[in-house]
Amino acid sequence: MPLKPKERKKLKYPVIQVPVVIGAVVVTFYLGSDAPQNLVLDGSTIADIYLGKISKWNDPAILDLNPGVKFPDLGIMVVRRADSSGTTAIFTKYLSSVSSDWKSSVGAGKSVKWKLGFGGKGNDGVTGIVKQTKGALGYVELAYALNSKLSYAHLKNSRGRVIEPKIENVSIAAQSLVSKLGVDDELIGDISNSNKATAYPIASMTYLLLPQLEAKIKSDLQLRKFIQWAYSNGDAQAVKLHYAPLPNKLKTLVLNKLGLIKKPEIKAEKDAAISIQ
Amino acid sequence: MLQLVSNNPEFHISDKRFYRLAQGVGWSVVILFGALILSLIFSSQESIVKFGIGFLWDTSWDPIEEYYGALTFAYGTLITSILALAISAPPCIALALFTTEICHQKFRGILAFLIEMLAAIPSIIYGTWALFILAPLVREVIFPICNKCLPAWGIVQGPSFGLGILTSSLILAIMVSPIIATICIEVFKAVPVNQRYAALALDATRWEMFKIALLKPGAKGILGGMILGLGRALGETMAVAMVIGNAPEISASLFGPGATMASVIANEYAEAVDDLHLSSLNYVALILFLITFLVNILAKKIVKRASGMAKQ
Repeated sequence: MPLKPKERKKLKYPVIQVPVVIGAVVVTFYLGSDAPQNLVLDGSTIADIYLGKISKWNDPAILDLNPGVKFPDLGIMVVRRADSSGTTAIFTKYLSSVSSDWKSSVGAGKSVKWKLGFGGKGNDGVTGIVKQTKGALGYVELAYALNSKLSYAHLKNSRGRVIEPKIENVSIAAQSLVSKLGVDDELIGDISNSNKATAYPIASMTYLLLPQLEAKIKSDLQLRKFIQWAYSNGDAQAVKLHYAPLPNKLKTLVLNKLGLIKKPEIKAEKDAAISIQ
Repeated sequence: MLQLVSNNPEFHISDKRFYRLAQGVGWSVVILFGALILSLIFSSQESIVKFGIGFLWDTSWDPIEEYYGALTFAYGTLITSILALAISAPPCIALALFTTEICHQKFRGILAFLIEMLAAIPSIIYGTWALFILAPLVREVIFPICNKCLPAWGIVQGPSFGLGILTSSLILAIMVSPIIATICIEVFKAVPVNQRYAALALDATRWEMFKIALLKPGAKGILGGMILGLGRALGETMAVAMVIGNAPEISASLFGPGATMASVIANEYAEAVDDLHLSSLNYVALILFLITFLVNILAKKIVKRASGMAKQ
């Protein structure tokens, strides 16, 4: 999550924030080893589960999304974060964009007033609860679900396609935002519920905060070297840690913003669109 | 006596120095205590001004609307602590009786030592154990049994996912038991042997002897031990935060989730960014501090009066 203007004002000196990698939040669940391990959900169903309107695994809404799969007659143990968290912000932002009910009754934020559910502290707290309770469903960062071998749902995106949270699908989520960004724009923005056909819908960029002291970053050769190195060589490592690399255009924009390369010849699409009109 | 030490020229200079040192340390506790209260009041100022005393009986806790109240947490703290006490006190008293009266002389020391060792286990260990062993036990065994026996009461409402008020109370019961048992052992030890003989001489059975010679005269001491245990239960954080479900709601069912004052502070403090949120968490801390303080004073008074009676 990028810092809000209000939070930035509180800082002692101005900072520049640039995206580093893209993270996905997955809906993870546990139904026991003898139960279905595949689950397809869409935004409004997830919202209804977290609003308490869907409380059983064999609810028609879930069965409709998973034709042919037999879900047990079991209550859904809704698990969410007990602490304030960027993961929650990404998740609730997505729910707000797909469910007007959610938007009006709960809203989006780092911590919200939940209608129901059990709180775990941190991604590992939620993972721990989900992993040891039959019927549990929670949301965590992709890496936590993969590392603790939890099943996670494939989600129907805004184009109606069922998407697995794979690195390439997460990367694509940033594309519609990136195509709008120009050289002089602030490089922040919402990438959840993307309109690209193969985009995974619950994603967000994470940001690097750097002191916005031109002199300092110019003089700090080591830091510059590291950042440049990270953006040009870090992709493989990001993928290893289950984070999606930024699209190339965005990387170029970042390096330009940090004064690490000369102003690139990238025209923002919206500028182009305006000139055509 | 103290006056004598400080003024009497016959005392050696090192005595005087030690007196000053001890006095300084003593006062520093008082100063620290005052500073703690002051800093808590100061850091919760914004919340105190905004919500006033009504904070205590307001149930909403809404970080988005920035509206806070502590009642759900106060309820969670009190219900889990009192339940924990109710669950642990009878077995602890029995354990103390066994240790002091029934068990073979040889094993008394070992048993007392083991009980004290229970207090040395870090609470995160208790919490992990509760999450992985106790919670499934509550879900698979205790809930179905309760559900069959007490259907219409409202305190048993499902579904149970293992985490919740009862699980927290159970783990708290285990955690406070060393305090209660140890104090009960001390109370029973303080009862003169002759009192036991007197009871037996009146043709009391062993159980009757326990009742008239130990439990009745020791009642106040036992109560004091229970209140000290209550103090520990009120403040316990980690283990409870791991199994209570951390939902700021007042649920009638013992199997529903809740939150305590200590658990909400542990969960939310590190990540709270809004001033009012932080300040409200500090306000919760202040209330918890005052409650624990009052409980401890009460316990001290009761134990003091009980030991005074034993001396007579």
